[in-house]
Parts: sequence; C-alpha cells; structure tokens
Amino acid sequence: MRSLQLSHFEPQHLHRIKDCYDILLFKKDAYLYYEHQIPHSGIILLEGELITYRRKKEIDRLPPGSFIGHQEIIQERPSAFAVKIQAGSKVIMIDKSTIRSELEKLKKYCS
Amino acid sequence: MTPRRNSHELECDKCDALQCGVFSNIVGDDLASISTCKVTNLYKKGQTLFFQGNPPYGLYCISDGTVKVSKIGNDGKESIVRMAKGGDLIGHRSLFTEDYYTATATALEDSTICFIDKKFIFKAVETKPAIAISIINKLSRDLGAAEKKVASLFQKNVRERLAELLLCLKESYGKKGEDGSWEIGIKLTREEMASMIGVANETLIRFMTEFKDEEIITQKGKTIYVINEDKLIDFADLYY
Repeated sequence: MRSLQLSHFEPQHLHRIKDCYDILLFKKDAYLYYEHQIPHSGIILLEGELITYRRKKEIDRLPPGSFIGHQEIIQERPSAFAVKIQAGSKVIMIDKSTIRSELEKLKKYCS
Repeated sequence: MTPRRNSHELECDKCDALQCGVFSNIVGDDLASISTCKVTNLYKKGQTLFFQGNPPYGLYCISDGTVKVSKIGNDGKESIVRMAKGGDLIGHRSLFTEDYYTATATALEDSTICFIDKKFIFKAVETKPAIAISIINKLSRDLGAAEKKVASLFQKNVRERLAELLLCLKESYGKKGEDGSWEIGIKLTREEMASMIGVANETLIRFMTEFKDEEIITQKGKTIYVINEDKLIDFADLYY
C-alpha cells in the first residue's frame, strides 16, 4: 500500500510560516480531496485535525504541524488517500502556483 | 459526455468545453499558463467540491459533467440555486468577495473539473486583461440569471416556473430523439426539482402529472422527455 507522503513542522517553524501565508478556518467538516485525486494545494495543519481515509476506512488522524498534499502536486500524482478536515480546523494552503514558483527559484541554484 | 479516463492530464486547449466556456477568448500563452497552474480531477457522482461555510482558495472550471450548487437553510432543507455544466465556473463569487462559501457544490454525475488557485487567478486578473474580462463577463451573466430567477419566483405561478425549468433543462441537457422529443439527460430527484422552483414535493408532483396528462412531457423512470416544446414555451410565459 502506497504510504501517505507526510511531512511535519515543529511548532517554532509553524510560527514563522503563519506570518507568510493566509490562515484558513474551516467551519464545516469537508473532504479536501478524494482518493485518486491530485490535491489542489499542499496543506499545513495549524489547529484541529485532518483524517485520512482509504477505501472509505479511516486510516490516520493527523495532528497540527502535519504537511500533506505537496508531494502529489510536485510529482503530479494522484493521492492514494482521501483527506477530510474537521470543523474548526485552521490550515495554510500552499497552492500549485506557489510550489511551482519556489521550485523554479531552486532550479536556478542547481543549474 | 463521458469523462476522460486520465482526467489529470487535460490541457485547456484540448478541453471539449473551451469554446462554450469562460476562457473561450483566451488563446496562446495565456491559455497555456492556465493549463500549467490548474489541477484537474475526476469527481464521482455525489462527491463535493466545497461546502457552504468553508473558505475559498481557488475557483473551479467544469470541463464536463454537471454540478449542483445548493444552499442548506436553517431548517436543514436543501435548495438548488444553480446547475453548472461544461464550460461553467463555480466558486468564483466567494473567491472575489473573500467571503466564506455561501453554497455547497456537489457533482451530480461523474465530472471532470479543474481547480485554479487564488494566487494565479488574482495575478491573472491583474496582468492579463482578457482573463479579467472573461471573469467579469461571467459574473455579469450570473447576476442577470439570478435577477431573472428572483423575478420568476415572485411574478410567475407554479405552472410557469415548472415549464421554465423544464425548458432550461432541455436547453442545457437535452438530446433530440428520432421522434422529435427531447430527452433531458440529467436525472434530478423530485426534491431537487421542487427546490429549484420553490415549491413542495407534492405540488411538483401534481403539476408534473398535469403536464404528462396534457402530453407536454413524458417520463420513463427518472428520465424526462419533452414532447411538446411549443406548449411548454407557452406555459413558461417567457416574454413577460
């Protein structure tokens, strides 16, 4: 089974990230993306909970600091998991435009 | 229209809905830039794009399929406020007002839908006038349709509203049969249709039966066929 591509930010790093991006509050439970979909954005969870599902079964509950979805966007590969956000959760969305522009900057340093 | 098997790789210039959509006047590098920044996914029937009350972070462009945009009232009742199909944008209004979504969008059938993030859209609106004009055009048409619907709810009776709805569904999803009748290719429940014209289920059933008795429409299972379009146009009182 393909594992969830998950990164994690320590609290001290989250403080710095919060200053750079808009924070979104989800008032309702919602699927951010479904199984076999490419996520719209990388998602950094600041408060609350993200729940991952596979074949409609709950797999894991992700705590604040979790960063998911970015690898699938970079690799343009669908997720093996559905991800649901719990009501009251706060996240930062790192959208595809931002990921692409940061990767372009990094390429300049590599070439 | 059957959604593509590998929907993730859809380029804008290959999209079947391009010519009838919001970005139909966008060409060349502008269109290519949308292609590179969008994320395309297949939404299965019943899957939700966004929920009423949650924050927007981009907008959705439908390549093919059908999406219903509905509001849940305080009593928990759902009212469909709009149906969107290939070429339509959804989620754009909340994005530009920077407010929470005021409705929920759900796929009514398997649909291929592209997500374009907020950063790209706002930058495109600032730097590419053609995209800005397309979106303004779309917003203006949406406003016109909403005003028309409000007027219809106040000024038309149930028969007229139902006739207008059936004509609208026939225009958007109709397939002409060999016998001259129009098969409405989207299957809606009675509750959904009733909510679209602001009536109770029982009232909808009564008027649908009346239309069937007058041989204006017929129904096989959930599929509605428009038999007498002229009579439906008369009933709809389109030119009031």
